[in-house]
This record gives sequence, structure tokens and C-alpha cells, in this order.
Amino acid sequence: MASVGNDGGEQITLNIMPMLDIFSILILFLLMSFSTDPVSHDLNESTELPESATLNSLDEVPAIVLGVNEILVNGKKIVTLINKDVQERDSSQGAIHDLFLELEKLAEANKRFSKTDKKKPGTLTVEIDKKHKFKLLKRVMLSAQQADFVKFKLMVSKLRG
Amino acid sequence: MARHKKKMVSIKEDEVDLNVMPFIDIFSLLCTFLLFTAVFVSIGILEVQIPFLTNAAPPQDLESKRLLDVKIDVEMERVELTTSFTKPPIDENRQQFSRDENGLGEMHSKLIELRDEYEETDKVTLFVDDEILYEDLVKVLDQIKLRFPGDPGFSPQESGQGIETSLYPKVVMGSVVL
Repeated sequence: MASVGNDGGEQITLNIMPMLDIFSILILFLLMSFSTDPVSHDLNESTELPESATLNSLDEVPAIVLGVNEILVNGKKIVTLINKDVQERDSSQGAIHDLFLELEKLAEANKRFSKTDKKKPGTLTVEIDKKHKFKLLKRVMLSAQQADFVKFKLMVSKLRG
Repeated sequence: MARHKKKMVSIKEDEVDLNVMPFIDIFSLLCTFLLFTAVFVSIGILEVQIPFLTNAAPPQDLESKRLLDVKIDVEMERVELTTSFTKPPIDENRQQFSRDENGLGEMHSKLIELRDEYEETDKVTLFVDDEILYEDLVKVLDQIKLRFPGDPGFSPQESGQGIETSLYPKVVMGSVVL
């Protein structure tokens, strides 16, 4: 119980116990939701991930982001999407030409800095908005395949509980 | 003796105040730190792969065996599960399931049966219709890749990527071919 005296000598008491109770509950809640995931990543503003029961956590920052209106590679805008698909001029044999060029650069950089097997095909982490169609994902995968990426880590929102 | 008794009574009558201010300071700092570091969306991953050409020879022991081949075709209306063997008799078997929660649950039970009967097959080839939404694809992937609490053989194991509860860990996106 905290108390303060005024000019008239009267003591005003402030009951801080409810505040301590609220603080305790808040701290308990925040400690429960404290993330121990190896990587912390802020989602793209326009992206909403689908829910999954997977227990595997994100272990690297996504290289490709398929937002609602654009495709980004390492934060750099590569292609603008119209009606959630690429424009005909950006498409080549089902793949996305500019994306392929960017991923090729990424693959070369990965091989240059990789200490392990340089011939081993690469892995890409992809952030995708849940309302995108598989058609777009297929185009991205085809572009990546041509740039020597054959494994994909599809980002999802983990179900709690 | 009487003097000593009087002193004891006076101590009992005094109010003992606990200074809670340092306690509140620590709570405030802890609250601020936790609020800044709080992650309200926990992000997970589902691993898939696409077919690729390689010069490496297939393992000899697997080549000579008669293995089960599992294919799943995700269409707008339904999901089709096809099983066949790599060596004669092929014994191709097709089963169709609706794409709702019940249908996917039935497919999941069938996959558990197949996985437990043919332990060497850990791969599913997935064919997906172009118009399927990513969120629907994730629902199908969950049923293929994961064992849920209550499923036979559910035993979470620590792996390099966290807790592993795999049913079919390898999913190959068969429709991604040039």
C-alpha cells in the first residue's frame, strides 16, 4: 500500500495490489508467448500465411516473397502481379524470366560462398500469400528449377495449442 | 522482565511496510522488454521438392526391390490417391476423396495405413491443379507430411529442425516440370 501526505496532514493511500496483479498476469502471458524460434522475421505487409500444424520452425529469412501485387527477391521488387498472376511479357515457357535471372545470381553467390558441396542443388525459402493460386507458385518453382534450386521451404503460420 | 515484555508489544503494534517500488520498476522493465520482443505469429515451414535431373545412380538395393509408389492428384472437386508398385505385378489402385475436412481426414488415415505397411516408401508425388489456392495446398500437405496427436505411431522426435512428426517427409511436386 503506497501512501502520500497532503498539506492538511491527511494521508491518501493508493492500493497498488491490483496493478501488481495485472502486471503479473501480463508478464506471464508475454513469457508464454515468448518466441524461441531460431529466426525472427517480419512478414511482408501484403502477405497473409495459411495455417499449418507443422512443428518445423523457420530457419532462414525467405529469399522470395510472393506478395499480393508483386514478387520480391531479397527485398528487391522483380515482377508486378496483375490479378495475382504475371503479365504475359514477363512469362517465358511457364517460368518468369526476370525471376530466373535474379535467382541465377543468387545461386552463383551461394555457390561462391558455400563451403559444402557446390554441386548440390539449392534450397529456397518462399513466403506466399495464402490466396495465391498454385499456377503462380508453379511458375516460381520452374524459374527456380532453371537456376538450380530444387528444394523449397514453404512458409506457413503455425497453429497454436 | 516487565520492561522486556513492554518492548515486545510495541514492536507488534508497529506497522511493517514493504517497499514495492523496486518490484514495480522491475515489472515495468520486464513488461516493456517482453512487449518489444513478443512474436504473435509463429512461422513454420513445409518442405517440398521438385523433380530434377541428376547423374547419380539410384541406390542398388532400392532398384532391385518392389516398392510402393504413392501419387496424389489434387483437383478442384476431389483428391485422388493412386498407389502402384515399381515392379510387376503393378497392382494399381485408385481412391478418390472429397476435398473437405472429412475427405482429407479419410485420405490421411489411408496414408497412415500405407506408411505403416510399406515402411520403405517415404515419398509422395503430388500433382496439383493450377487453380488450387495455396492455403488449400497447405491443408493437403499437412495431411500428407504430418502425424497428428492421436494418430498411430505419433512420436515427436527432436531433429535438427525442431520436433519431427513426419508421415511422408518427402513430397515431390510432380506437376512442376518444363
